[in-house]
Amino acid sequence: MRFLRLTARRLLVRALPRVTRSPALRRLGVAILDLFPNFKRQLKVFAIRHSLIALPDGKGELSAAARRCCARLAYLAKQIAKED
Amino acid sequence: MHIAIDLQAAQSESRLGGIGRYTMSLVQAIARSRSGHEITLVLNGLLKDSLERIRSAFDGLLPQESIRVWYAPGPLRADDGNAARRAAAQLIREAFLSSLKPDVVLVPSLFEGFIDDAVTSVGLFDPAVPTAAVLYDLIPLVHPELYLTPFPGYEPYYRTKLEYLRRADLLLAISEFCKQEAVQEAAIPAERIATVGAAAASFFHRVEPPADSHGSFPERFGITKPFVMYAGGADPRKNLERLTEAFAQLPAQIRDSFQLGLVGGIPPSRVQELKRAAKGHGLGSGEVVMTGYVTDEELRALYSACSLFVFPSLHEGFGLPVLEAMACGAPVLAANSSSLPEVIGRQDLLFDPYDASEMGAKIAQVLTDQRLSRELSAYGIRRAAEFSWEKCAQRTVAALEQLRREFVPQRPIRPAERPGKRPRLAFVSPLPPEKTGIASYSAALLPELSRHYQIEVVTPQAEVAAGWVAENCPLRSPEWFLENAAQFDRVLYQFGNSPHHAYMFDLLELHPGVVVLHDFFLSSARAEGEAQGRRPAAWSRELLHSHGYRAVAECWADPLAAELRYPCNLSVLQQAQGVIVHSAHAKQLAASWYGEEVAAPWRVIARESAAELPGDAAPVPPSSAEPGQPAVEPDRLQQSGAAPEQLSRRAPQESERRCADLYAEAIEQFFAAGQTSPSALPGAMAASRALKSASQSDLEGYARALVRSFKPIGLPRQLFVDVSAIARVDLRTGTHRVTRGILKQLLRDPPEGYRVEPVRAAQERLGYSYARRFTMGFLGYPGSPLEDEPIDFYPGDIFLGLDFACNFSLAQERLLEQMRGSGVHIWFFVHDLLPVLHPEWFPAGDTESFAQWLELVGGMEGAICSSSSTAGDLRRWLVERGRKGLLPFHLAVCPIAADIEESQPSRGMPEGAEKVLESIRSRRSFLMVGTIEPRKGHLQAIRAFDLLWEEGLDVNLIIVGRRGWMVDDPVALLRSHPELGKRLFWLEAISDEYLERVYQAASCLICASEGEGFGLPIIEGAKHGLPLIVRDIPVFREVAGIGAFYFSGKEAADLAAAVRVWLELAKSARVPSSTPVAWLTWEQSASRLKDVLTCESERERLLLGPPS
Repeated sequence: MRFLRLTARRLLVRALPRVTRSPALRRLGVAILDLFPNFKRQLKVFAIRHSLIALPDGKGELSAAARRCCARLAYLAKQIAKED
Repeated sequence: MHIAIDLQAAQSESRLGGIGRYTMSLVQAIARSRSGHEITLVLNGLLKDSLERIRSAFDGLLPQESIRVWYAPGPLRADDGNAARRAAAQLIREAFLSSLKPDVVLVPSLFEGFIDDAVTSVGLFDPAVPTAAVLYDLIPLVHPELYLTPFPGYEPYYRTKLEYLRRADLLLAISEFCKQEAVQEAAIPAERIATVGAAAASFFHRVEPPADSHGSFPERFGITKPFVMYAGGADPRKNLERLTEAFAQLPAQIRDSFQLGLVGGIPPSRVQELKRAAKGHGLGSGEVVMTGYVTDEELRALYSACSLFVFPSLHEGFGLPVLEAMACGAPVLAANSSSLPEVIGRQDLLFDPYDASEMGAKIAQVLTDQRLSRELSAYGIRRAAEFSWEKCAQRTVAALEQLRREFVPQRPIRPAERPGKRPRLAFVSPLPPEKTGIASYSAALLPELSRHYQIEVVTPQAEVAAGWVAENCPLRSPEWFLENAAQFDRVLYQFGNSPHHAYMFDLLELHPGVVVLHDFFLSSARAEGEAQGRRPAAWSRELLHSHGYRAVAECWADPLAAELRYPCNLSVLQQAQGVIVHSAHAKQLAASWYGEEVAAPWRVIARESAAELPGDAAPVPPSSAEPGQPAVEPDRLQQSGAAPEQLSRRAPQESERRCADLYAEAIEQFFAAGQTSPSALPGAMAASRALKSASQSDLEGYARALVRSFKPIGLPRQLFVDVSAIARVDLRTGTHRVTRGILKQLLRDPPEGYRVEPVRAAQERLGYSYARRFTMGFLGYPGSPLEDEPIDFYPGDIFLGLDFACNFSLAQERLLEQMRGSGVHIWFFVHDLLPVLHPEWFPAGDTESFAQWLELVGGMEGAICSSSSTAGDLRRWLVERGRKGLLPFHLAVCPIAADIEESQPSRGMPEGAEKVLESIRSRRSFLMVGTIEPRKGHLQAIRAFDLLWEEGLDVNLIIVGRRGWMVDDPVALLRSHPELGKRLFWLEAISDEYLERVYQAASCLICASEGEGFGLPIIEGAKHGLPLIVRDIPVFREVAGIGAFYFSGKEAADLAAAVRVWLELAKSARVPSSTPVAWLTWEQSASRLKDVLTCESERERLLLGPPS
């Protein structure tokens, strides 16, 4: 079991950095995870921790305050576009 | 004096070079001798790898709260594709510095960011803040043919920075030469330049060469003979070709005895050039050695070991290597150029750098005259001692003080206004025929206010029944205004506490303006929208934002009471450019609800000057309410008064005129101040064209950066309590009971100045969210409309990993590090270290994850343990393994509590429970409480009781706890046991209510666990007066003391014997009573926790090394 777990992890480590670019490798990564459901949680943690599947820093959902701020910026950006 | 210091030079690529060292040394010296001055260090959050290093470097010199971080979306390096982001980042940085309200800003290096994410600028946002910058040299300006022309990408960058340098209010030159050069070459007035000098770090002093396994120390660099040393860069002005020429001209016997060592990183192309030059001058291989990059320790040792240090540079701003070499006792010769004579201090040690013969003759003289060499060595040490960072710091602070005294603020940057025209004002208010006092008030005010502004009225009304207004002011709908607000120079909102104003909340959110707060309370205006379903959850969200969970809970229990009790207006106050109220009392209310900072800039326009509307119908702004009391609403006054038209006609004109003048003055004052406040940043970013062609992703990046950089006013510090695991599923274990017990108390009674915010980790991405759904359910209001939202965090907030959520925390490690870099205090509750101390008790893989989690914990601010035993285990583990954090680690003990009823207990009695309880009461019953795990001793206990039952003892064994892991044997034994349901009971996953009843019915509690972090059942048993039979392990000794009967041994017979002895003692009432076992309530436990989190004296401070 230890061997399987380490093998799965190694594969994942190699595959996931490319996941965002290659749909085929993304499917492979998912398939590996599905093959070893018991390790899915740990692998997922590992992958997020090492930026393999997590979104880059600062990306993702906006907080309520950031949404408000973004709306104002979008409005101002639109005004600039109009002026131009 | 408050000095804000931009420390990017210690974060950027410059950090490893002279400018980085200068910056750290100078600023540390300023911090050491700050003599009453307030110092704030300002860091760039994009350069995140440096945050902890700098925090650590100033630990003990400055409070961590004095280190502040601003954020901008990257990348920012000087690259055409980054121009818009750089423009935005420059504004964010300047606005951030301005928001700190410093008396002066010090920029230790303006020339940062060409190749990294540093950004600097001067005078783009708030010219009212005086800026001083350190000037190192103007070499590229003086030698453009060497440093600018060949690099077309660099030249515009340099010239822009030079312009910022010229804009600085004060330059701090590192040498007198540097000052003169700025006067002559950059036409900067001499009176705007102060010479503050430089110094060698105290690190540089004479040392013995370190032991080296490969022979003498210099041999590791290929230096096998006594050597002449140069250290520094290798660009052409360093004059290294001429140095090799001079070395080549030395007499043969000298050349044979010495090597020339060029120390420092040299680009490969330049290495080849220098090798060719050396060869051209007749030097053989091995006569000139290029060491490449060396560490500080190696550099110091080389300075100490060399026979002579030669610095032939043609142009320097200071020449720090000369001073470092002298401090290490090296005889030193230098060129008689630029600043070097100032540094070296003796004419006879200088040479003409353009004359290789003279240079060679000087070198030969020192190398052959031992007495002279010794004399120069001694002189160098004396001379270097005359330069110190303390002196530099004193000169710097003195210059900054003078700048502050003499600084005349320039006119703030303001958008161009149409000359000779009144500013265009959007007046957002209800108007007659709406039957509100504010409508009448506005109608009376507008004619006089129009002397100052071109006014357009923004109202959802289809018509306005105020004659002058209808004839003179265009009416605009809120929808129109949302799209066209940018056309206005000013916006004025007339807010009141009635549904007539509900439409303004959305407008203000998008288009900030000055707010006239007729009613301090806006709760009714908010509540109406939610009640009518027009703005779902708007009231609840605002209650939470303004007043925290307690207010929302009260709202759910009694909406009317909450409406009357809570002003519910913080968002409006935060979004307003300025606030006008009609009484000082309203300011007092704001201060009492949200702090002095919120109300301080408000303007009071007293009611007598605010359109003295007639008699009892006057729309007198009430503002007379105490917290908890509703403000009287002018709308309601209006309902009993005269018609609006009548009011307008009867208003005394003189009073309205005076009132309008005061309004205009306040609006202009707020507008001017607002131009340099963070709320003006989006507008400034738009004006700088940073938003031009910005994608949605860019805008989101800017929004995130602004929110992270600028904390809104009036918001208390947040205590984030991680409930990631329990929010997903409450396993009703002891660990989760701890989470519930402490969380309940923290929500009920937060630490002073903090708002408690339960948060949960996102499962598949980086980020924590406010756990609003969980919290409202936890508080007993599961139907709340509040949704989970990503968190915003600010310096001074606390994150407490209360829930044991190993995998969640590991997944969020980078975010936790970012939070820590921002100044959030990160703490974890460590229940025990059993997975690493006893891996045999846990499934494979758990130990590894747990060890990683402990490493994560060790890198944070501190850990809280429930017992001294666990704290000791953690201390030992960290000492043995090391930790990766650079700042001190803190450790504290906070015992957990026993009052189940205060831990938000689960309820419910299953069918047959009473029968089981009756069986328990029917004979002597021994109770075991805890998850069935290998360490808990269930197998030993069952077999022990088998022995006792075989002996004919008529006793019960009650096991309470759900099935854990690796327990096939005890579970199989339990399930097939012939006594199951007779004298052996397994109560799996029972409610807390049921557990209480079992405690009450049992005769004795057995704690047979071989390892615990605390032993919660012990104190729960003691609270119920149960005698205790516990295993003799240190943590149980700590918790139970003399209040338990102890046993040892892992065999069934050992425990059986203990029970037998205990039963004998019981016959004569001699069993130890559990009364001496001290136990806390959850209130006491949480109180201790709050002390630990908020008071440094309550913790142990550990300085631990890095991981081994």
